This record gives sequence, structure tokens and C-alpha cells, in this order.
Amino acid sequence: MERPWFETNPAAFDELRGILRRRYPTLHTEVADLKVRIVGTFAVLGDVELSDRYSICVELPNDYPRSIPSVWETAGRIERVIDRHVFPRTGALCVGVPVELWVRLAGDFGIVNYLEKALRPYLIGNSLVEEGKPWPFDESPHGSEGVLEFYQRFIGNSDPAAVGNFLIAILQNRLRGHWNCPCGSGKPIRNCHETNVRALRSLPNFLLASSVDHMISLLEMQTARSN
Amino acid sequence: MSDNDYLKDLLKSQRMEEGCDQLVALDEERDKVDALLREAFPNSDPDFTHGGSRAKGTMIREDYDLDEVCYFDNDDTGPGETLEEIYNNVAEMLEDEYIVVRKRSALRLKSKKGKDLYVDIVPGRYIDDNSTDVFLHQNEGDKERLKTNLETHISYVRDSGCTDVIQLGKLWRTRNDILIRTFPLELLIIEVLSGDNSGTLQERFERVLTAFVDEIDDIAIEDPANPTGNDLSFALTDKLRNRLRTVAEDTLDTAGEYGWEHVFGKVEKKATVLPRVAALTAAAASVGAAAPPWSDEA
Repeated sequence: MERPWFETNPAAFDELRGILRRRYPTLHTEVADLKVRIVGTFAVLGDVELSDRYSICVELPNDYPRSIPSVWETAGRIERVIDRHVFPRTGALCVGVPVELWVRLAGDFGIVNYLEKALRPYLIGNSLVEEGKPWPFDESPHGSEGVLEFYQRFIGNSDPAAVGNFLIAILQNRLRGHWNCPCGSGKPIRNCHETNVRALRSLPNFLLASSVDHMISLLEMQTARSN
Repeated sequence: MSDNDYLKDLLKSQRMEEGCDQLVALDEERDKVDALLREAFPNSDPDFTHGGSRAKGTMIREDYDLDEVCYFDNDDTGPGETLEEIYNNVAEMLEDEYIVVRKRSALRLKSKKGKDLYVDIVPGRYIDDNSTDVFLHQNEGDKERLKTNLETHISYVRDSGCTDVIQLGKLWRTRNDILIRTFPLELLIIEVLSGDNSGTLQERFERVLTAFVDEIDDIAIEDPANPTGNDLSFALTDKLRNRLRTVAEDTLDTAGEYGWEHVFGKVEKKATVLPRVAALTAAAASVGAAAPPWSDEA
């Protein structure tokens, strides 16, 4: 069995603990079952005594910091239902469409980047909802439609077949800059959504493949509905 | 400001003065439960009084609840023949008005909408007419009943000379999400400081944390009201001892490196604190565009 990252790279583990002491003194590492979990409370309003705190457990992936961590709210404060953006089966929080998180965090899932750019906004939003206020940011639809909505915002195309084929071209390394932009502008990619397309080209293959699966699911649903 | 002065300020900011909103709300709920009990058991005259941190003088604003004991006379069968019947009958009576969470010996009250009211009711029965010892029903564990004594518990903690360190320990537990119950934490702190309770608040708190790092596996705790009969091992498992050790070590390292204010954060004066919604709205604006949350059944 492959040795976990914190054993092969103890300096990185020490660095992680140093970051927690410096920036998040109420979060602590726990090592069990060959996993590193970060457990404690996270103050969403910053480091003040009256801050709004959440009890959390962040499970770091085996290739930390290259993949997205999983995170749970552990005090039962966030209802475990899909409309509160929680995976009902596992109880993990859905802080964003994985492919969008990867793009926004530029593939850096180091603990500070993840807590500040992914988790903090989510928890602030939850606290406002608890106060009877609307969610302060955009919300994605559930499941595959949420994935498609990301691509609609990101490359301007809401047709699952077109998005799926475009992603397959990236996966197969066939995409060229002179191709027409997927947004339908008629311009070459290099003169249109080039930056965003470049970001997609930097995605790991498993995320692209997962997006393709979502597009196939949507097409299957469309076919089932039309029958 | 010295670290010790900071910790004293921190505790001051956590104090709950009589008449504050939270205590008034707790008292209103307590009076409501008292009236319900007397209506449901008109021929009984239970002692319904504060237990827990309010009576011990260890309540803190960030982690408080109200423990109310409800002890029936030894020969009073109105609320039930057995301890289990008393426990269940009191629970069922309260379920008309509340959501009741059945804990080991206590009944936690939530509003019908699910909001935690931070009130625990502990039903029990005096063991005889002449003492203040009681039997409690136990919903979990090996023994169905537990002998204990509230007055002994209260005086043991209140008169320990450690209430300030206990308050700080409770805040430390809450901030770090350590799942130790209050009573075993109090017993641990008193046990550690029983050898030497001298020095400043900072020195004594650091002594406790150092003992958690170095000796947690060897520290034994026992119920002062029932040293041999109340097995507290369930409340201090190996996993929990490990967690206490790890967090205490991290905390001492952090305090040594950055000072105690870094560990607990700034002590905000109430007047300078933004209302919660305003603070959250400002925080939402400051984080800018966020990834929209999503959900998937996968």
C-alpha cells in the first residue's frame, strides 16, 4: 500500500500544523486510518472573541493539497438535506461544483485557500440563512444541472451535447485555439473565451471526465423526457 | 497587557450577570417547566432547583445551559413507582410542550420548532427522608440507577478554588470542539490542581494543560458523591484522552509562540460589536464572488 503523504513528506505535515497554529489556533490535526483530519471550530467572522463559530471536520485527500478536501459540520447545526447543500448520504457539505472549485482555487487546495475561498463563504451564507436572510451569493442547481450551469457561466454554452463534446476534445488533447469558441460567438477561441478555456485545459482528467458523465446524464434525461 | 491580564479580561467578558437576556430566558423556561410539573403531579412536592454551572459559579456566556434537578420524595409514587417510570413520566409530560431529547439521566428541552433551549431537566428520587442523596435513572450504561448528591457536587466544584480555571477550561473545550462533558472536565481540572493551585490564572491553566499533555492517561477521576459506585470511565475514553492531549499540546505551543490572545482571540467590548446580521453581511461582501454551493446525490 502506498504510504500516506504525511509520512512521505513530514515537512509538509509540520508546515500544515504550523499554519493551523498561526492562522487557525482552534483547529487541530488528527491522524487516524491513514487520513489527516482537521478538527475544531472555525470562526467565520475572523479572529474575534464574539465570532460565529462552526464545529468542522476537514478530511484531507491522500494527494493533499492537489484534490478537493471533504468537510463536515459536526455539531448538527446545518440540516442534512440537499437544499442546504449537504450530501444527504454522507453529510459532507457541498461547497461548490468540484470543477468550479478547482478553477476558482487554481487547483490549490492547501488548507488556507480551501478554508478562505471555499468554506468561509459557504458558512457565512449559512449563518445569514439561519437569520432568515437570503443566501448572499449565487446558488447552483442540484446535480448535473448545476454542473451544466457552471459551463454556461464559464464558456457560454448550455447545451449538454456541445459541452460534452468540447470537454472530450480537451480530454483527447485535440482542442485548437482557432476552433470556434463554444459560446457560439463565431469567433476563434483565442479571441473569445480563451482565458476560461485555458483554465479548463488545466483541469485534471478525472474532473473533466466527471463533467462529461454529468453531460451524458443530462442527455439521457432529455431523451427519457422526450420519449 | 500581560497574558495573565488578558485571560482575566477574557473571563470577565464571559461572565453572565443576573438579569442578562440569556439568564432571563432560561428562568422563564424554568418557571414554565415548574408549573407544568406541579400541574401534572399535583400531589407531589418535588425539589426543583438549579444544579450545574449556575449553582457552581462556572457558567460562561459561550457555553451555557441550565441544569434543573427535579427530585421527588422517597415515598412519593405520584410521578412513578420506579426511577425509570419517573424519568419516562416526566419526559412524556414535557413532550406536550417541548421536543425532549433523552440523555443519560437528563432530559434536554428543545422548542417544538427544534430550537435548543439550553435547559436540562434531571428527574430523580431521594433515597430516604434523612439525606440529600438521590437515585437517578440511567438511560445508558451498565447500571440502571445511579446514586449521587447534588449538594456534594456543587460544593466540591464551587469551593475548589478552581472555578476560574474551570471557566477557562470550558471555553477552551468549546472553542476547540472537544467532546468532554462538563463534570469530568471539572473533576480533571480540580484533580490536577489539587497538588498545587498556586500562581496566576495563566500559570494554573498552563499547569492543567501541561498535565493533559504529560499525564492524561494516568489522571483518575471519581464522583465525589459516590466514589466507588459511579463509574465515570464512559466519560473519559481513550479517544477523548488522546484528543485532550493533542489539543492541549497545540494550545501550549501556540500560546508559547504567539501569546494567549492569539489562542482565544480579541476580547470585544459589547458596544463595539456589530449586530450579527450586519457583521455577516459585511463579511459576505468582503469575500467577493464565491463558488455557488451545489449538491449532488452521488
